[in-house]
Amino acid sequence: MDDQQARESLVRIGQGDERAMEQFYRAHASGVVQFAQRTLNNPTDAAEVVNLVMLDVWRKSASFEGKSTVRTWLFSMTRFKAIDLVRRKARHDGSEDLDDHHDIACDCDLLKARDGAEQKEKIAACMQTLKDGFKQVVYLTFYEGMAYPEIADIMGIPTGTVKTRMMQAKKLLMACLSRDYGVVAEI
Amino acid sequence: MDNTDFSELLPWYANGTLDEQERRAVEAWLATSEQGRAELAVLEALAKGLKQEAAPLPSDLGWQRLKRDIRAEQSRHKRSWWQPGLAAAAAVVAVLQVAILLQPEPTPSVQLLSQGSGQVLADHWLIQVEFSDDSRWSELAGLMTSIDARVVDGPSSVGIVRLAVPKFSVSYANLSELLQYLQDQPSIVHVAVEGR
Repeated sequence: MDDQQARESLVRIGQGDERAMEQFYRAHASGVVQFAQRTLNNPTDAAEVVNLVMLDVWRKSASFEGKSTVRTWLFSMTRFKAIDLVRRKARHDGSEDLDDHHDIACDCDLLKARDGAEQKEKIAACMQTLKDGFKQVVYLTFYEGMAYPEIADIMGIPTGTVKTRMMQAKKLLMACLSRDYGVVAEI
Repeated sequence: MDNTDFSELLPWYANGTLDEQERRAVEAWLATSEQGRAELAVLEALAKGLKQEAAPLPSDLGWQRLKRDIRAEQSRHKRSWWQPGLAAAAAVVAVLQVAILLQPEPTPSVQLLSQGSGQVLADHWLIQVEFSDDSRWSELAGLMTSIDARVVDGPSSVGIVRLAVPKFSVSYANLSELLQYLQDQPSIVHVAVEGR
């Protein structure tokens, strides 16, 4: 479903069209759950967030003003719902401290990092070592293929902060990927 | 733009979302930077690896759960829709009744309404209607005018309004046609004829 189709769906959803809501759900739920999991690390909580986000789509489709893409609007809601759920469950990894982070030195061998990046399990393991704010930027960039201004909109941070978080995440990932398999936990 | 800027942009060069100016600047830098090219190779492999992570298919169970929650919410709204609007709806009914009473010549409808249910049933159908949660009064008033309906009673505690609708009208040939017309209206959730 491209953005124009999604906008047309929202109009029909606003008129109470349940079939349009189902099509919208099936087109977007997997992206929403993937993004939610970058914050929640818990499939059950991620499924809860998907339900909450889609209920909001049903209630608020008429309030979509079209200033951003539908996807940006959807992921912004997902981020708020996921953070809200984390706060309610009092699980919190200090993601808001990310931007006070000191510069991370990358002690990494780029050739080994590239080899590591070709191993799906190693990528998954290294991603798990990242704090949520880093994971979200990496996910939105490489999995959802978003531009950095769109990521800034979704995360409610300046574009400079998106780039800084990506630089730090990149260094952490490269360091992790360049290590031998099995020593990921040292990060 | 210095080298640090170009390195910052590499992830979005890798995913193809840089604007034209940035893309050209990064490409010019990559042509002269072996480090940059090595980093790009890692990022491209990372992007490929991340995309291979299978996205969970939206489940039928997830959709069924959402559908259930949407319908539960709709039911709650229908039951509570009239509650905040009871005063307003009662005021509208009063206005309609006053408007009828103030007509210079009594119409058969006014006489019927004042003559009791027996005469009303002879020339009118009494229809119970449940309006949808998001109906506007302007839509309902227009609908009732189109079938020459009068509000007889309601809304009840569950939001039912009783309408008296003339049996003989140019708008519909018979009761079935009238009911079909009402059922087709987006503002109407349920309609039933009393005594049938």
